[in-house]
Amino acid sequence: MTNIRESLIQMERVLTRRAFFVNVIKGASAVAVYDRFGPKIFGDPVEDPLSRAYEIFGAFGRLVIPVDQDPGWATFEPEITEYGLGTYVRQVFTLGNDLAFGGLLQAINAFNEIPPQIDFGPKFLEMSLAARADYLTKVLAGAFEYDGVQDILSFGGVFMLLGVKQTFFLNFPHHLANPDAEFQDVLGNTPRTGWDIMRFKGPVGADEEERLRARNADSPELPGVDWGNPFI
Amino acid sequence: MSMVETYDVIICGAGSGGGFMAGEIAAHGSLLILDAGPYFPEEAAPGIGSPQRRKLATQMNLGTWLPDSNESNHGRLFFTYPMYMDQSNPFSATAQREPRLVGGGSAINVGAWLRPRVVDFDGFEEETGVQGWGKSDFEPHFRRAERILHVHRDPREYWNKASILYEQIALDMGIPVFEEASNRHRCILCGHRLNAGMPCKYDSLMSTALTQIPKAIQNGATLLDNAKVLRVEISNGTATGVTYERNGETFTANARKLVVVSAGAMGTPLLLRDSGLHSLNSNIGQYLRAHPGVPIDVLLPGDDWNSDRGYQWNIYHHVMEENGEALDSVVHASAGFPATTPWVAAAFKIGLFGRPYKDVMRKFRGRAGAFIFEMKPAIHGRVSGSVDYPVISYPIATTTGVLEPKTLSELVAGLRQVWEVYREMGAYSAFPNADDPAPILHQQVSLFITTSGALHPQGTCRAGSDPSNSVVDANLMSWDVGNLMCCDASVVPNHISANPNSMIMAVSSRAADFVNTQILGAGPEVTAEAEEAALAAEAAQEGASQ
Repeated sequence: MTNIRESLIQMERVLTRRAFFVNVIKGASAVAVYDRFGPKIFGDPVEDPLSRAYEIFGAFGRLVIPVDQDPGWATFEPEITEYGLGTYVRQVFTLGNDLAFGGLLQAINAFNEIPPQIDFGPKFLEMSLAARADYLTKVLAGAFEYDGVQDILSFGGVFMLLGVKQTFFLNFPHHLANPDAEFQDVLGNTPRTGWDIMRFKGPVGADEEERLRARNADSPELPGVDWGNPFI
Repeated sequence: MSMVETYDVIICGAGSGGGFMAGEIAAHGSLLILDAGPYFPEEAAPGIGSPQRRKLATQMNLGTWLPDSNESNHGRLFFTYPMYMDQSNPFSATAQREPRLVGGGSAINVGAWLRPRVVDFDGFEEETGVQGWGKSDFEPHFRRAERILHVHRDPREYWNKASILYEQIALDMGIPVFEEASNRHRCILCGHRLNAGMPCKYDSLMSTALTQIPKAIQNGATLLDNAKVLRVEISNGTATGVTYERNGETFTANARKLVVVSAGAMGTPLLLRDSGLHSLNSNIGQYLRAHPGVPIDVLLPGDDWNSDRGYQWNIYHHVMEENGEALDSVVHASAGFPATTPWVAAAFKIGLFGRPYKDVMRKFRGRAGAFIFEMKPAIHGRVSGSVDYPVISYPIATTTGVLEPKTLSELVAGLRQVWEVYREMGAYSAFPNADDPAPILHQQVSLFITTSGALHPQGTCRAGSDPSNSVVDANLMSWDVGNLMCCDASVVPNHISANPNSMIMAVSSRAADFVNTQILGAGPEVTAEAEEAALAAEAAQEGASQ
């Protein structure tokens, strides 16, 4: 059986080396929470922690990126949840380190399990949408410091928040580059992806490249530097 | 070990420094150029590129620094080094990168060509006593590099709208704004390479891989790419050659007259350490200078601010004090790094979720921004370890986790000044928010820098007047080992107030004149000064004939 504490240590080691994340979780320690509460903080052991984490991650995605006038997380389920957690988070956040990924799954599981243990409410998966929003708001505001569980909730909550946002706006499911192509044409997407919602043009295709080249072919250039600059 | 060949000069590293020098000296002696990265020798037309180079844009791997991993610093086109910046969190390292491809930094940088400030040249002598490093000493070399690299400015009809408006409003506010020169000829503004600092897919960037390296090869130089130099060979106090690894085999090449180490401000001291020189000169790897920078991302009304794709750097200015003096901070306006790709922009407003978050993301096209560099932090760092196991320390944040005072105050002044300009342009939201209370703003800036790193490393094998405070003399020759030269950003005696590419090439141009005239026996007619005189005479003759 995987040693939970070791998994959490490895998760912290890997994730806090990811410069981007240090920004938002500096000082947090899931291991410290484990040392205070022991394994009960993660609820009853489940046979397949990844399946449970998919459930939580999917619910989290639906909360963070709802369907409104544009598509949201639910539009692309279940593939986006499987890709987001099983591939993107695993490879990009925990760098393919299985032990660290196991620690992150424990943190995600704790995010679901902790509310009843601190008498905050039902488990995350059993909450209404409004209660989930209230719970996440409080996690982000650091409201669980006095309950002693803020650190592990920050790990689970912040990584899921970044994970779903970045997965959705990677142009899922049309995001993978063709590694041998000179051009990366973006095909028309139905339904609209994150890129479309942002009206991001994406890479230049062969035709557009020709148009840009024609537009810029005769552009005049002013040689040298700006000699009106008295500092140089 | 197999095969020994002998050349007059061996250059280790074909980037801005070594690549530029190669083009200037190859006609005057036999030359071997070694680079750890790949070279694509196809004919490359500026703005069009070649099929192989086009594919670089999708085959890049930046590399991640993992101290526990055997794969450590092996990004596909980069060496990746850990840089420890935060004294309050000694276990946290940023991943710093130096390019590993022929062309080096000149193939990667965003094409911004900034001259150092006049005051920088005075600072060289003040710092190490180095002689002959005045502005006038380098002027012909800047101009030579600018001719070769096709340095130019774009007319305003090719600027993006945010740049034009920023210029107008900043000038109205009394902030002197200048045109930013670039060395990207016939750029089609595809937005591709600017997303991650990758080499230009269309070869519009006039790197040494397109300019000086082909010239060197044409003049008989041998270029070996994917050749990682393991050490400089030294015998009886003189550099005699190098040992390098290529295709799994180890080779030694001999140098009759000179070995030039041009592996970058981090790679050069590490290679000298691997060669044992740090036992001769304790200044190797010391005095690391770098430029910590912070972006500001704003939301403007409307949705047509970022040109077609990504960002353009058209203008820059120094952050100005109320008394009209320029601080040591430079603003590249209308950059907007965080706005360039949706998945990076997705982290904007991290605490938002639900419909409010989607509303922000729908405003993506209204984003603009600037990048602010602090050019003269009041600290220096250190490069130690080895090429395979480097340790870079640049402790810009104190034990409180907050940046050293000068860096912090000048970056915050920059954020506030830039935000004033954008607010006048109609911006209604900024990140970081320069109106936040000082403690919050200070923490945000400190966290960004200690987790994102500091760019433009310099000074790790600096030039000086005495071996007690420097690694090389004014001509870049090692104080301690004969026939050994360093030629890249590592030799800059004190930090400069600009992106360093132009300074590296000017330094390299001057060093090339020294090599040609003092080591390879060429006449004075090959120097930059003679070149300028010839050009002036040619122009005068043309004028007379018209």
